[in-house]
Amino acid sequence: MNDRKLIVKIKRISGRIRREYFNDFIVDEQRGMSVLALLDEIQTGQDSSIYYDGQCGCANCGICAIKINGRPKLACKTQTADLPYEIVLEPLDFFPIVKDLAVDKSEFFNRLEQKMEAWVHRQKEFNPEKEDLMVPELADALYENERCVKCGICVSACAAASFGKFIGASGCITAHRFLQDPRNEDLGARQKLINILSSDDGLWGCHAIEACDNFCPKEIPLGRQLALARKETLKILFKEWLGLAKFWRRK
Amino acid sequence: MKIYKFDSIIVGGGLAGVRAAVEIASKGYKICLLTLLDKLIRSHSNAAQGGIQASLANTTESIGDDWRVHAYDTIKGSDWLADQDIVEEVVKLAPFLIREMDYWGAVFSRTDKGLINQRQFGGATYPRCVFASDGTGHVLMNLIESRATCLNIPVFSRRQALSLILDGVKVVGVTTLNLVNGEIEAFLGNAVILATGGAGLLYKETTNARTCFGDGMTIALETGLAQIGNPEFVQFHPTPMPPRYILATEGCRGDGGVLLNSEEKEFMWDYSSMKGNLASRDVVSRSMMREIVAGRGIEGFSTTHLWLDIKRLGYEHVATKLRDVYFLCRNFIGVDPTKEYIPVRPAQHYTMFGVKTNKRCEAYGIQGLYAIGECACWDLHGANRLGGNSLLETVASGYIAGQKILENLAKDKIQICKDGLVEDEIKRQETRIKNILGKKDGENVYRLFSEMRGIMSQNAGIFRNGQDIEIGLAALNKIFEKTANVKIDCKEIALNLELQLALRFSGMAKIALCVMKSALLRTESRGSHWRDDFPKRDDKNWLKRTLASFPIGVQEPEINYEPVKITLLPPGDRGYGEKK
Repeated sequence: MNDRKLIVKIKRISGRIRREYFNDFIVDEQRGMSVLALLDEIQTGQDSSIYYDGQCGCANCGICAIKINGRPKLACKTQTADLPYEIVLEPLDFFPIVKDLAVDKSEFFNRLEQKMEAWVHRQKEFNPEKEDLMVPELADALYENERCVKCGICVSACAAASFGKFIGASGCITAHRFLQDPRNEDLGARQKLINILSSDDGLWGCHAIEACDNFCPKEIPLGRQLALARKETLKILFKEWLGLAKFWRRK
Repeated sequence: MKIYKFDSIIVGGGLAGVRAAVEIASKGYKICLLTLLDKLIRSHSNAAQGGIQASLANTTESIGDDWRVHAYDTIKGSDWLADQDIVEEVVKLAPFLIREMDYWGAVFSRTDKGLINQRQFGGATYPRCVFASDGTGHVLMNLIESRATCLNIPVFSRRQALSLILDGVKVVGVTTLNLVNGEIEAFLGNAVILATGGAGLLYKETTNARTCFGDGMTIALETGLAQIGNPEFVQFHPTPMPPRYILATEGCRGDGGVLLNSEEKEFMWDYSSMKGNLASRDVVSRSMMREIVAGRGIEGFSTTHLWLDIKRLGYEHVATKLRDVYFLCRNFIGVDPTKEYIPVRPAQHYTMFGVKTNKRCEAYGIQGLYAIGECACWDLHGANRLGGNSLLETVASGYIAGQKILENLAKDKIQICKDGLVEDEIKRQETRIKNILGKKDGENVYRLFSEMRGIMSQNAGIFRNGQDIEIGLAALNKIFEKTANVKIDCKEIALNLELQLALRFSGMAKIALCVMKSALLRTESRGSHWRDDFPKRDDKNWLKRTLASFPIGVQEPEINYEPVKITLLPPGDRGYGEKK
C-alpha cells in the first residue's frame, strides 16, 4: 500500500465573486499520512496558493475541520490509509468560507458564547486559602462537556442547524455545562441558560438524528450528553411549574 | 491604512496573553488581543496535557509540600541556571493562581474528599501537578477564554505581527498583516506584550503546533535592540509518539507508566539510579537516545523507537485519568495502550529561550515592551524546564506583567509619539511585502525552511559536539544569506500561506543562528544542553546566562553573558543520580 497514488480533488473558492472549481492533484501516499499532511504536501510541493487551516495536528484545537469525501472530519485525525485513493476535499458546510478549505467558525461560536453568557458567574467571595469542594463525579461530568474543541463538525453535520437558528450540540452541551456547575451562582444567568436550552433554538430544536454523535472527532457521546441536558432542563422546568401550581393552590 | 489605539496591545492569544489581558481589562483599561488563528481556544496552550504545578499541600500524599520544596525542585531541574528570586516569587504565587482559576470555574480533577487533586510529575518531590484528566491546557484555555468573553475583550483574529513600531528605544505599537484582506494595520498602545509562544518549528521533529514560529521573538530580535536569553537551551520531550511526534503526556510516567527497551527491560534505573522513569526530561531524553544508539531500540513507525508501557495501569485508569492519551494512541498511531506498548521517541518540545525580561516581565533594551510565557526568557526554567511549570509560567507571568502594566497605566495614560512614525513603519512593511511578491526568481521559501529545520535537528539536537555545531553554523549562515533572496509562487497578499512564511523566515533564521552560536560557545553540559566533548557541568566558568542579540546590519549574532541570581540554593548535585 506504500506505493499508492492518491488523486486529491480540492474545492477552490476565492476572490470576491466566489469562483468555485475543483483542482486535481496526484500525491504519493506515505505511511501514517493524515489528510492535513497530505494538504501540506500539496501546498509546499505543488500549488502554494491553496489555503487551509491547521494548528495542533492532534485533534485538540479543532480548526482543521473540513469535508472529506462528503463527511465532516478533522483533517489531522483522518488517515489517508482509511480512505479510497480518490479523495475529495471541500470546506465545512454551514460556516462562511474564508478561502478554499478555510471557514470562519469564530463568529458563530463567539456570538453564541456572548448570548448564553458562557462563563461562571460567581457571587461568593474568593478565598485564596482554600478551594471550594466539589464531588469528583461532578468534576468528571463537567469535564465531559468541557472536552468540546468547537470544531463545528456537529453543527455542520446537523440537519436542524442548516435551517433556523439551532445552537448545535456544541452550544447545548456548553450551556448544560454552565447550568450543571454549582459555582454558577447568579440566578439570572442560570435562568438565561434555561431559557436558551428550552427554546426552539436550543434542545427543543434538536431533531434527534444524532449525526453529531456519529461525527464528533473527540468521541464525546453527544447523544447521551444531549439527553442528560434535556433531563436536567426538564427537571428544572418541572420544579418551576410545581412551584407555580402550589402558589396558585394556596391562592 | 488602519490605525487602532488601545491602552496596551497583546500579541498572542494563548494562556499567558489572555491571562494578562484579563488582569488589565478587569480594571477597566482598554486592551486588545491579536491572534494568528480564528479563535483564542485554538492556541497551542490547549495542547498542554499533563498539568500545572502548585504546592497546594492539601492531600495526604502532598502533606509537607510547600513553596520551598517546589522552588528547590525547579532550581535543581534548571541545573541552577534559573533566577532564584523569580522562582521564589512564582512558586509562592502558584497556589493563589490555581485557587483563583478554580474560583473562576476551572474543572480540575478532584480527590474523593472534593479537594483539588494532584499527580506526580518528573523531577518533583511531591505529587503537586494539578490536572484536569489529561486535558489541563484545554480546560484552562476554555476558562480563560470565558473570562475574556465576560470582560468583553476585543480579539483581532487572523493577524500576523510584522514588526514593532519604535520611537527611539520605546515601543509605541505593532504593525500587523490582516491575513484575510491583506491590509497592513497598526495597533498603538503604551505597552506591547509579546505572548506568542515558543519557536518549536525551528526543529524538524517537534511536538509543537503549526503556529509555533516564535513570531514575538523574531519581531523583537529584528529591532536589533532586544536580547534572546539562553538560546542554547531547547527541551526535548521523552515521550512523543512517532511518526508525527504527537505528545504522550508526562502524566503517563507520573501515574506509574514505565519506559522499556527492545528487551522489555526498565532501562531508566540504569541511567538515573534515584528517580528512574521520573527523572527530569533532559535526563530521560538523553538516556533514551543512548539506549537507541546502543542498539536496543525497536524499528518501526518510520523510525527507531522505544516503548512506553501504560497497560500495566489497567483499563480503568487509562480510560479515565489518561483519556486523551488513550484517544490519541487509538486514532493517530493505531495502538491500543490498554493492550499494547506505545512507541515513543524524544523530540523537540519546548524552548527555554526567549525575549529576555526582568523580574517584572519588561524586555531588556526596549522600553514598554513586555514578554510573557514561552516567548520570554524570564528566567524560571534555566537550562531545563520541569513538566507542569510551563502552564504555571504562563499564568504567573500573565498576572505579574498585568500588575506591572496596571501600575504604569495608572501613572501615564496619554501616548505621545512623533508624527509620521507609524505611517513610515506601515510603508516600510508594505515595501517589504511588495519586494517579496515582486521577485521573479530566487530561493523557494519552503525548501529553505525545511533545510533549516533539518540542520537544527541534526546539529543542535539532544547530543551536540563542537564539530557538528560548526558545520551547522556554516550551513545556517548560507541559509541566512539566502533569506534576502526569497521568492514565492503565490502572488496574493491576502490568505497566502507562502507569504506568511516568507515574512517571518529571515527572523527565524536569525533565531536559529543565535541557538547554534551560543551552543558552540557554551563548552559544558548543563540541563538540556549536552556537549559530547565537554560532558561535565562547569560552574566556575559557565554559571551564567547567555544573552544573544542581532544588531541591524550585522551578519551574525552578538553574544554576551550575565550572572545568575543565587538566593535560595547554591549549586550542587541535581539528585537524579544521572550516569554521565
